[in-house]
Amino acid sequence: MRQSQRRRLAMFGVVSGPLLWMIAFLFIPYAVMFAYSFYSRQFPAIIPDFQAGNYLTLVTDPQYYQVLLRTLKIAVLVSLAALVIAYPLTYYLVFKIKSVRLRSVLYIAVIVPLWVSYLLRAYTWKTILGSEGVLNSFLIWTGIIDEPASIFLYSQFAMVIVLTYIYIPFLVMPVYTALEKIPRNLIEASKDLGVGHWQTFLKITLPLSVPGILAGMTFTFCLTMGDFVAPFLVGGPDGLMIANVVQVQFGTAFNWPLGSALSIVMLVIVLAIITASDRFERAGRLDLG
Amino acid sequence: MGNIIELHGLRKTFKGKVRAVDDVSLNIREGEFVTLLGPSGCGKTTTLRVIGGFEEPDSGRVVLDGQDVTDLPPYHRPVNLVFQDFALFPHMSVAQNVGYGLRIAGLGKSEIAERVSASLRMVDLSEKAGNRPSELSNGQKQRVALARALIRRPKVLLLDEPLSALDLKLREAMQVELKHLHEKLGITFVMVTHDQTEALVMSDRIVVMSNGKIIQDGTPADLYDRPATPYVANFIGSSNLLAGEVREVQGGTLVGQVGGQRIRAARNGLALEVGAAITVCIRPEKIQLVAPGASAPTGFSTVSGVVDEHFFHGNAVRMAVTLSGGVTCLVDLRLDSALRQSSLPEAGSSVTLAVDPANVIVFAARGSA
Amino acid sequence: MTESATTLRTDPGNGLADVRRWRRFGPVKLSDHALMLAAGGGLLFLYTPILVLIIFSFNDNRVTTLPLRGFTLVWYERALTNGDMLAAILNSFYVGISAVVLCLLIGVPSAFALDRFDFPGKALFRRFALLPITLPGLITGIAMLNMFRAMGMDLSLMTVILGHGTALTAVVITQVFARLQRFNRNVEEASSDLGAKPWQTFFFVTLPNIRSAIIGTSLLSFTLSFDEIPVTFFLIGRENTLPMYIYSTIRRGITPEINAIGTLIVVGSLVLILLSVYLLMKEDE
Repeated sequence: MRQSQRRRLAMFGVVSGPLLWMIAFLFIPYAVMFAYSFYSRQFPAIIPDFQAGNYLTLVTDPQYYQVLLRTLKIAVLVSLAALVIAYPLTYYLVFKIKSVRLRSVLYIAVIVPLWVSYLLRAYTWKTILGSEGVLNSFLIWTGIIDEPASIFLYSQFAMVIVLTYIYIPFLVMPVYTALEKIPRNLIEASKDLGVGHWQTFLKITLPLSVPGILAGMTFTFCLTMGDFVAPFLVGGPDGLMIANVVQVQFGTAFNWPLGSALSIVMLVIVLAIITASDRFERAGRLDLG
Repeated sequence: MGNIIELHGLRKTFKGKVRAVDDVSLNIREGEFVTLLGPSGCGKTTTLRVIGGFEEPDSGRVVLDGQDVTDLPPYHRPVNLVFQDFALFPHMSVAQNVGYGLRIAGLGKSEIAERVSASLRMVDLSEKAGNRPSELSNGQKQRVALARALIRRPKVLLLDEPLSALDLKLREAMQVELKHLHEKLGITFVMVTHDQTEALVMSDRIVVMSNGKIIQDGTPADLYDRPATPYVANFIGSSNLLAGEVREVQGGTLVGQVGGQRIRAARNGLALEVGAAITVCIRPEKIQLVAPGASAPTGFSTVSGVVDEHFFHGNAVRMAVTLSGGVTCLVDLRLDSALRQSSLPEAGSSVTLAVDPANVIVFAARGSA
Repeated sequence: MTESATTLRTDPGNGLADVRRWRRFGPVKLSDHALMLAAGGGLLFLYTPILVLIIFSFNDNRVTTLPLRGFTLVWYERALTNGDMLAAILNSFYVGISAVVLCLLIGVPSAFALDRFDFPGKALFRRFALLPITLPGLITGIAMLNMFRAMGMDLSLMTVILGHGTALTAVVITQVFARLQRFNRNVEEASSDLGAKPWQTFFFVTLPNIRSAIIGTSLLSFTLSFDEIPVTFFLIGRENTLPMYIYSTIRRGITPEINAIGTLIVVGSLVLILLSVYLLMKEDE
């Protein structure tokens, strides 16, 4: 049959390029990183080996697992804080703005900052929270405090603020999609039956928006886990996150095997979270294939 | 005039599904208007798409004008298809849509412009030449699709449910227009539809399909007066299908017993024994009402029953009559200057029905199709 | 009588119906206001830092303190005459454009493959293709660094381009795939029916219909590449891209030029993003 042969040929032509690329630049690098994580480092050389010493170090040396736990804690805090701010905003957009045009404009207004230089947006918080920054000078100017307070910057508190700020749009997007999909007549039917405003929200709106919430929080959690810019800018000595440790291993510490092992651990955690949330998720994410 | 299309033993199964096309063989003569008729899923659209080259048959051959085109892609076949949803190019104007086939063929700009405007005149859309498809009504879109397909002067025009997107009045008008177009152009039309009225009005020949097979193939009159199976009898027009058994066999006629009463029927060449189970098929409009006190026309079979209810159809009344034995029968009576609804027997009254044996069709009772 | 009662209940624009609703759910008005406050607060929170950046880029003061001193363009002057920064900007453009071309070359066929074909390993392919946008960029950067090192390849702008190409292809795939799914393939069959060979159908029918998606996603990918940090950090050689330059400058201390160049970047990105959003939202041409 020549037509099906023709089709098979076309498929081969279209698929082979991308497939090769994926193998070369995604599959192989991860495989190499995985292999590297088992190498050992005998200063100053890196010896190909197969030993689990690096992973052992991560689990036993508090220097590492404390940072890991701290990172997890901050990731959770950021996801929750971003949700608390993003949800009412999104809810307001979807249900209280009647004009579709205005709603689209506001939605875009929320999403647009996402694409505008992450580094710069995080940097601005340095100028706001610093001892010579906007917040302090405002407080002094209005007489609330006498001296600049140094607690705002260079702390975990500052990092949570910055990261929450960055990731709010990431939560608005899937929650918006999820809330929009809720058929309005469900809510009207509930009100019609005499159920109060708040109860309607708890029993109908909120549960139906859970897939979007899950998607957004997963995204935020995973990306926060891997962030090294925010700690660098506003974290201070107490605010080191796992990504910075990895950074150092590939930099001055020159311990690539350990860095690779750390990356693999991060990869596993992130993949686990994604898989888990995928199970509960039904709407809100783009489904391919 | 030879066969312009020959289908030999086509089979096609889609992944995991039942056979969409099951051993279909068909000859279509040049200049015919043939309709593939059947409910959705019967295989008619798949067969059409195989002719057009959009589906590849698992086995079998397609011969167009003497050439085996089974392996040829659509762009090498001398046929053109009018799609059910028109498939107009949304990013091109009407004129560009219509001229697309000529542009691909490499014709010069001025020649394309000339033929496009002639085409648009033919379908009466000249003033819409610069519009986008999104600005047109369904009826207009369909005419653009027609013009676009016909401008390449194909030997065969394929039409996939061409009238399904139109509303009733427009549909009736287009049925006539398409028939006129066919007569004027003289090329072969192959149409697919589930609407039996369309098929009856427009076609030279109807091919009834079900479950991937061809059930019957003949002229509209053939199919209407001499359906091959109860399925065809009920798909084209309406039929009363009554279960019964053979009582007597005499030469060219037989007597069947339906619901406790005897009906004389033409034999249709069936070899049946006394006692064999049969399905008796009588079209509602072939049944007459015998006025109380009058006698039925000679040779007619008569049955008696009780009127259930009337359904008013404007120009006709359909009466549901229960015969003895619990069998229900529908009778269509045309309301004209002689007959008015008020003079018909009311619900509950007894009636005598008469029918010419030649209009009683008998099938051996098996399955439904 | 009954008819008007029904219209009262279901007609949303009828004022009387609103009053009935208010009477039934008194506190609604209060929570509506609270909601609006929360929403407004959220929006304010989102835009205040950007406004701070813009305002202070014109402020005549070395440090970002209130009260504001005076309007000046000196930071812009300094920023635009900074040779290192200008070189970094040029590099970012070079990397961005090259990366976008790469992404399109890989991403568009991938989207078609996912939309139209069934091939062995399709599910795995899909997973891997989307991985870079779900994983932190750091991991992609390190993985590729390891590989380049193992291959003995030097780090340079080229490795950055390869990194961006891999990381941002997922963006192209998702957008183009979404557009392809909305695309009615009947018109491709119609084109084929009218005599067009497959390549003709692709260029005359398919491509024009997904053009807005391709342009939109190109703009989006360019902007993302221009601002990319984690992957770039690990794959960069001696030459800097703009984010890397800013990163190293901030490390040395806050300078007001950063505010100026930051504002320029913000405005430039905004324009590009709004353009790409507009294009991506277009349904048909």
